[in-house]
Order: sequence, then structure tokens, then C-alpha cells
Amino acid sequence: MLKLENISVTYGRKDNTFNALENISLNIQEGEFLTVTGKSGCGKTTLLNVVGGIRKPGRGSYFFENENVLAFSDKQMAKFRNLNISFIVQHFALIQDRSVHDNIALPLIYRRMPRKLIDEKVETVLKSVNIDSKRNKYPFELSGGESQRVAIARAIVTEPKVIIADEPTGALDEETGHIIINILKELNKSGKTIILVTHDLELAEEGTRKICMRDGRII
Amino acid sequence: MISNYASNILKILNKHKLLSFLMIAFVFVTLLILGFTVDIQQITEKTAIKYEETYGNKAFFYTGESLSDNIYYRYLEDNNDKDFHKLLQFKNKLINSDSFLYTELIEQPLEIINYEIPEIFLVGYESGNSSINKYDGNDSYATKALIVSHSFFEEFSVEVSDGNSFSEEDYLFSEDKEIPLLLGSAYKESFKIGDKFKGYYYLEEKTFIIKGYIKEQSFFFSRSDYDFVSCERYMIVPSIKVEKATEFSKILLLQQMRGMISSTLGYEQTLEIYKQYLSESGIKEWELYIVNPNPETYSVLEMYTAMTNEVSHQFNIMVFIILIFGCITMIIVICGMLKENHFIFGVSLLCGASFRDIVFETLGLVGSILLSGDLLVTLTMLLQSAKPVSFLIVQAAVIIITTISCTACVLYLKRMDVSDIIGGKE
Repeated sequence: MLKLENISVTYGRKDNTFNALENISLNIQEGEFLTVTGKSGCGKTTLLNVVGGIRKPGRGSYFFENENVLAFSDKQMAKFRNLNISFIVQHFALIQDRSVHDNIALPLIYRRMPRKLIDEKVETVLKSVNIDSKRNKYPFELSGGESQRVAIARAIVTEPKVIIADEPTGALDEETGHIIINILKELNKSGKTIILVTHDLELAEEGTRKICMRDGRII
Repeated sequence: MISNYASNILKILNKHKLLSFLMIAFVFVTLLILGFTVDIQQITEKTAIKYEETYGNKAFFYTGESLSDNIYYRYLEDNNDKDFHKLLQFKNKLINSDSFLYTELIEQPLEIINYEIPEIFLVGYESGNSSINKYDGNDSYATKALIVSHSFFEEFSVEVSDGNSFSEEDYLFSEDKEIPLLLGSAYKESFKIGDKFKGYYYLEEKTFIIKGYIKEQSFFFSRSDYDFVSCERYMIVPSIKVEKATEFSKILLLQQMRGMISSTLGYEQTLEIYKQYLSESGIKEWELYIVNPNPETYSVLEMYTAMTNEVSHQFNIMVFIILIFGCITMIIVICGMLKENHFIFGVSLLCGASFRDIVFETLGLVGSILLSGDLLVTLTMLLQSAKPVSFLIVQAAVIIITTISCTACVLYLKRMDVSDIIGGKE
């Protein structure tokens, strides 16, 4: 489904450069729950940026369902993200001056979906993650667990093929973290491909496959 | 989608209420200054063109008389009509000359009796010596006045704004007739058309009647100041045409030799023609003269043109500075706003927004601030009856500032790195 070949990413210019990724090759099958572990600065987030189409690598190739992602224009890349990839991040990435409903609706708005359909879909996912009573609240009125549920709702409302989760439990207490992981596992069971980045080795065991990174390489 | 752009723009503006308000106010003030600068520039350029058209390379020469006692008393003798007619012939030659324009222009105070004239109109007001005299127990106000012939209005493009200008009849003398006056624009608050008062005209008591007002921004070339002087504080009196040789008309005619010749021929050639007219009129030996008051006469006019051109040039520089200032401020503030909304744009990109979507929202933000300011300026300028050119230049400035600001925003967005939203650089 997702194939990375010899991906390299370098930050900085001239003499002051840093190789965030070095010749990374990775195949991810549909329905996999891949966990990525490694120390800070080992290149985990950069890998997610490449997989999510946020950053184009300096070298290598990236195929998603046999399509050359790196050949996409900005517009095609936006469409690729909107249709196939969703992100769940450590600090939720919710827009503070928009309600829960509006935060979840955001990817559907950029998909140019009719307002009525958007409302229906948002309502469905609100119920599925059990936060339908919070639809009119603002992110600053929610707890950490509730915020992450909103972020998950926003991630699944587009019915993406791949969900990228970068330390989704990092800002949560243990109990809430478990709930979130269970939701991700449920999503994986329903057929979604999950890529989870974590420091937590115990959490990394929850996946169907585990990779570890060091100094920009998979070890 | 458009409603989403609008909603996002409103949210950003709402989030930065004070800054947005200040920016709209800044755009308003900047464009207003620009608009009025252009307006003033137009007036200045128009004035420069008017000067150029009116005076071109003309020079002014003064005429006058300093008759010897012998000639003077002979001229005034009761039974000497001959000299009067010679002088009248000479004056007519000056008036009808094809070589230059002769204007009777006598700066002579009008003594107004028992009619209170505000001090600003009195002779000597500027030097703090305004004169109110006593004649036969009456208060007499020495008021600034110009006694002029018809050509004065043509020579200095002086027009009447209210009432009527002098008619042909007004220049004819009659014992019983009231003498019409045109007043400078500053008199409007003190007198009204039709007001009458008594005063002295060549030492004879006459009744004067106000016939109209001179347009604002009217100037004449003063022989005493050797500069252009505003007509606003002057009373304009018609110079009476005389035909019969009475003692009064003889004195009047001699006074009318004090005038001004405007000529493009230069002093020497004008002097030759003047002498020729004297000779043809049989008064070659009379001490009637023409003087070039200042050999630098041409320079004065050139100086006026140069001054207006310089002012116009400075206005152009101001317009340029305003534009640059407007652009820089706009770019700094908008980029500041974008930086603060970096997170929102990043999240939008993660949610599938394209770069174009973000650019549209940003351009909408720039446009809404500029257009709000532009709208206010346009309304203000409409209320102030600004010139159409000023409107066009303000709109052009809005387009330029918008284009530059939008380009800067797009460049800023292109460099925006949203990877930090999902963890940042490692």
C-alpha cells in the first residue's frame, strides 16, 4: 500500500547540515498497525512528515497505492492528504477559536463537501468517540482526553486509509492514554492502517509491527 | 468554500480586533493623506500652468509721470484743452497698442467716511499703522484700493464670484452717478452687495455702491511690493474714462498715466514703442516715463514657475514615500498576523487544505483591510469633493499596495514550515 525507498532528508545548508533520514526504505501493508520507536531526534517525526506528504524528501521515492507521491503538485498533494491520510498529534492540533464541531468539520470543508453532509458525518463521528455532548464546546473547555478524542474524530471523519499518530498519548494520563490506544486499535480492526510514533516501548508492543529508529535509520 | 474563506478571514480579524482596527485606520489615514496630497499637487500644477499661460515670458514695466512745473501748470490752465487731448491721444495709443497691454493700475487708498471698515482692510494694517483720519469732523478710513481699467481683469485673470463685474458704463464719469466697487473675497463677511457709503474719489466726495465680489485666489502684480498680491483685502474701483477737458478730468487723466505695461518684447523695445507713441501724440518732451522696476523681472516669473514645480516635485516624493511606507507597514503587520496564525494554517494543511486555500484566505485578509480603508477614504474624498485624478491615484495606490502585500504574503507562506505541528524538526 505504502512504499518508501531510499528516503533521505537533510536539514540545514552548506556545512551546517543534519541528516534526519538516511536511506530509509519501508513497506507498509493495508491494515497494519505499525509502531515506530526511537530516541528524540532519531527521525521519527520527519518520517511521519514524509509519509503524510508534509515534507518532500531530498532523495528517494514514495509510492502510495502505486502512485508516485513525490511527483504530486501542491494541489494534488493536498488532495492526497485529504483523501488518504489523517493526523493525530501529541498536543491535539485543535483550533482554539473554533467549536468541537467546526474543528472536526475542517477536513470535510476542504474536501468541498455540502454543509448538510458535513453536519451528518460530524455527528456520526462525535457519537463514535463518545463526545457528542461536547459538540458546541471550544477546545479550551475540554480535558486532555476529550481534546484527543476530538482530534481522533477529526482524523476519522474523512474515512482515511492511513492514520498517522505522533505521540497521541504523550500529553495524557495513563488511563486516558489507554482509552485512546484502544480507540486506535478499534480503528485498526475496522481496516485503517495506523502508524504510531511513541517513546513508550510498552505502547509500541500494541502494534502488529514495530520498527525502531536511530540516527535517521531503521535498525 | 467561499463562505469558509470569509469565515476564516472574519475569525482572524476578530482575533486581532485592535490590530485590524488600527490597520484599517492606518490604511485610511495613509490613503487620505495620499488623496489630499494628490489633490494639492493638482492645484499646484494647475497654478503653475495658469502662471505659465497667463504670464509666460511677459515682463511688467511701470509707467508714470513727473512733469516739470512748467508743463504741469500749462497743462492745467483752463484754456488749454490742446495738451489734454494730446495726453488723451497718448493714453488711447497705449490702450490700443498691438505690441503690449497697458493697464491702468493705481494703488491708491479710498477714504471712506463715517462707515466703519474693519481694520484688516485699512492701509498700514500689516505694519500696525492702520489709519483712521478726521476730515471735517468725520471719521475717514483709508482703505486699500486699486483703481483699474478694464484690462486689469484680463491681465491678471481676475473674475467676479458674486454680483456683476464692471460694465462699460461703470467706466464713464457722471457727477450724479454712484461709483461701483468690487470687493475682495475677505470683505464678504463685512458687506453685502448693494451696500452704499460715502468716500473721496480724487478728492471729490462720492457715493460708492458695492457691485460684487472678486473670486478667491485672485492676484495682481503690485508695483509697490513688486510681487503678486492677493486681491482679497482690496476694493476695486473703475478708472474713469475722461473726454472733456475739465480741471477734474485733467487731473484724473494725468493720474491714469500711472499704470503697468505687460510686454513680451523686452524693456528696450517696449521703451522705443512708448517713446514713439509720445512722439506721435506731440508730447515727446513731457516727462512721462516707463521703467523696468527690476531687471530681474523675468526671473520673478521663472521663480514662481520653479517654486510651483518644486512643490509639485516634493509632492511626488511624498506620494512615493507614502506608498512605500504603506506597503512596508502592511507587509510587516500582515506577516505578523500570518505568523500568529501559523498554527491554524498548519492544521488546515494537515486537514487537506491546499496551499491555494491558505493563499486565498491570506489575500482575503489583506484585501478586507485595504478595501475597508479604501472605502472610508473614498467616502471622505467624495464628501470633500476631491478631484477625480485623486480618486484614480488612490485606487491605483490600493492596487499597488495590495499587489505588493499579497506577493509578500505568498512568499512568506511558501517559506512557512508546518512540519512543527506534528513534532517539529528533530
